[in-house]
Amino acid sequence: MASRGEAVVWGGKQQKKKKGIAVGRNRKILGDIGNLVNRPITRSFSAQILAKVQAAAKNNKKQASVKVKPKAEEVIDIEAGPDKEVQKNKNKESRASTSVLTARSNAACDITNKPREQIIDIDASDSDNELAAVEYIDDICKFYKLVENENHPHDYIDSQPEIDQRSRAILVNWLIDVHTNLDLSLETIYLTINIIDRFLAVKTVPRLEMQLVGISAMLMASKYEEIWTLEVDELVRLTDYTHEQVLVMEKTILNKLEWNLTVPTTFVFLVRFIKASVPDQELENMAHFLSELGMMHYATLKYFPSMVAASAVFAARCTLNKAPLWTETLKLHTGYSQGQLMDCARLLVSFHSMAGNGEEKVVYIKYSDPEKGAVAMLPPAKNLMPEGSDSQ
Amino acid sequence: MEKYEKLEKVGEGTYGKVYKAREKASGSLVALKKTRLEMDEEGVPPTALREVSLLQLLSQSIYIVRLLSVEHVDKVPKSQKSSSNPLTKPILYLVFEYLDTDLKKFIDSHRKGPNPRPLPPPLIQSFLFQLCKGVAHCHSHGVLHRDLKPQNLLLDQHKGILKIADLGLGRAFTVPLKSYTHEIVTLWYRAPEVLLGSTHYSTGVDIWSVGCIFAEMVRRQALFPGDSEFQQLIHIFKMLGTPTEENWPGVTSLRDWHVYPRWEPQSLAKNVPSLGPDGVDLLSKMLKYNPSERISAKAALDHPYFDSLDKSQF
Repeated sequence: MASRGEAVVWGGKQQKKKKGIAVGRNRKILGDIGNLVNRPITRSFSAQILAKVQAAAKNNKKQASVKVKPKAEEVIDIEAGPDKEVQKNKNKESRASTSVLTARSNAACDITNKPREQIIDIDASDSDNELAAVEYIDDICKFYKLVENENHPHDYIDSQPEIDQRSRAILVNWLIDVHTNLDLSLETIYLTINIIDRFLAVKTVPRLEMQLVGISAMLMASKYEEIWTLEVDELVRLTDYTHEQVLVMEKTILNKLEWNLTVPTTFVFLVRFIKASVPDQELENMAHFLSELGMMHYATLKYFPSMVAASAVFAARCTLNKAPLWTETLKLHTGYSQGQLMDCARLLVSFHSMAGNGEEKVVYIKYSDPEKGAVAMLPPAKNLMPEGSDSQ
Repeated sequence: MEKYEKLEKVGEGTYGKVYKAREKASGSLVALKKTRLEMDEEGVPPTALREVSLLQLLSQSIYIVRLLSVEHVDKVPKSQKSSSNPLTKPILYLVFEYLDTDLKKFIDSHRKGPNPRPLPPPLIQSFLFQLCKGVAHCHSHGVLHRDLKPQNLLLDQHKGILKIADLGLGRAFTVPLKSYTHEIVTLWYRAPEVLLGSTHYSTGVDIWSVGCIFAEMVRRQALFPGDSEFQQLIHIFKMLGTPTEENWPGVTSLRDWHVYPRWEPQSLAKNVPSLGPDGVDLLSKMLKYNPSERISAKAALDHPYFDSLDKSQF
């Protein structure tokens, strides 16, 4: 009931008035819900109720500061109307049924008195740091999430007669080595591999040209990402191809990809999700290690970049026994629940368990360095390993 | 390129000539941005690579110039035409929608010529709003323009539309922003953090440029017309006061900081006399020294300066 001198605010907006009555659907509290108590409390129904209750609470907060002082004669009685008497008689019944309903919906929605895990504002400490682009970061992530499927290569290995998963792994391993030796940024290597995979998904490439595709992609990625771009001859020197072959391949790739190089790679998500994990240096290194292992292996391509990034963070937390393994903050920022990440995380952990064996171990060597916390040498996450398997 | 008939040269872009042309099939006007790709050099220039790629991403916005197509052409030079195996010169053409003028020419036409007159305040307000819309679109898609100036803002005079062009110096950024080149933005529109040698900069560099452009529309002449990096800083310091650690923490640690004379800030309102209090307030927020205090393009759209603007048309 509005106190004297205050206009009624309904749903956050002041209602128009007609002859002293607030116009609008002036429904009394649960008054026109038909089978009030008899309706079964299904999940969706309780969710609806909960949403309404939360919305009402939100509006109440907003309304607290909205005070409009009408003239004395314009004070509105929200109970004015033909069914006022009937409503009074229903008050007791209404209150009783409301409490039953509330209790049921709370139970159905698993609302108990135990404190809910707090969602951390991961950007709070960066409000004065323009490099964090706090005002835009959520827009950017939302946009990347929206378009990541447009630039995600489909399964192409079966349509490449001369290329298999192994030859791709050998190429990526070599490129990561080149990338490390040339001291290029992480953005550059992620974009390089993205370009290669998208190109191989639309063009048949002979095995002998795989390395040419690789260095041409790295040239393009460095032009896009680096301040000081690679010179063609720096890359030609590492291979048996000519200067002209690289430039012709660059042109071929660009045209095939329709010049689309502004794409969300795993890296852009990874940086954000690591921040949402409120990390220490070890966790950050471990997440990068697992993500780069993922980049090495063709099997990872079946997952979107955001899922690989989220899984790398989850698997890193499992490996380092962080508690909890997945937080509400991470769920909010990644858009994934722990359950949704299990398959991809298991895959990354399986790569970790094999990383020291075989020939393609550039990533393993890179992250065995004490500068990177030697995270590659830590045992893989036991809880994500298949039963009875040994690590390394 | 037989599809297009070149009509006239209209300017020089970041990396080549720009022509007005007509598409033969439809008769519609286009702008052709030409760049040579010499095969003995480095292939596609990074500027072209970035511009095309960024425009693919941003062109959905009506406040960004529309890229219609990319044409790779192998041109045979006249001297080679009779040869049986001619050496071709690869050329890249970017085909854009055509707009009849740019903001620099538009401001100049109001400053000199037969009929000098101020730009109408509602038009300044509309152009600035569209510019902020375009910049907010870039920033919320993770792109810094890094070369905003009146010459790079194309206008459709009849419809009163402004579009951002020339993303040759633009780049996508990841957060947190890393080290970038400080050789960006035409001198007059370059932010003080960049002039002082910072390689870690953010969306604020574009907002500083927007502020300078705003003032230039009002004054019909550049706000800070320096002819060297040092002179550019002096222009800024004389008007806004020499920055201090109090109003810009960390300024004295920037790479190119020296001990400068202590100038007191002038009244900004006196330098844009025809601008009302709301406009002066918005301008002062765009020209804050401390980049983290500078207003964002997104927030600028909600500034009271735009309250009298009919936003439903945008």
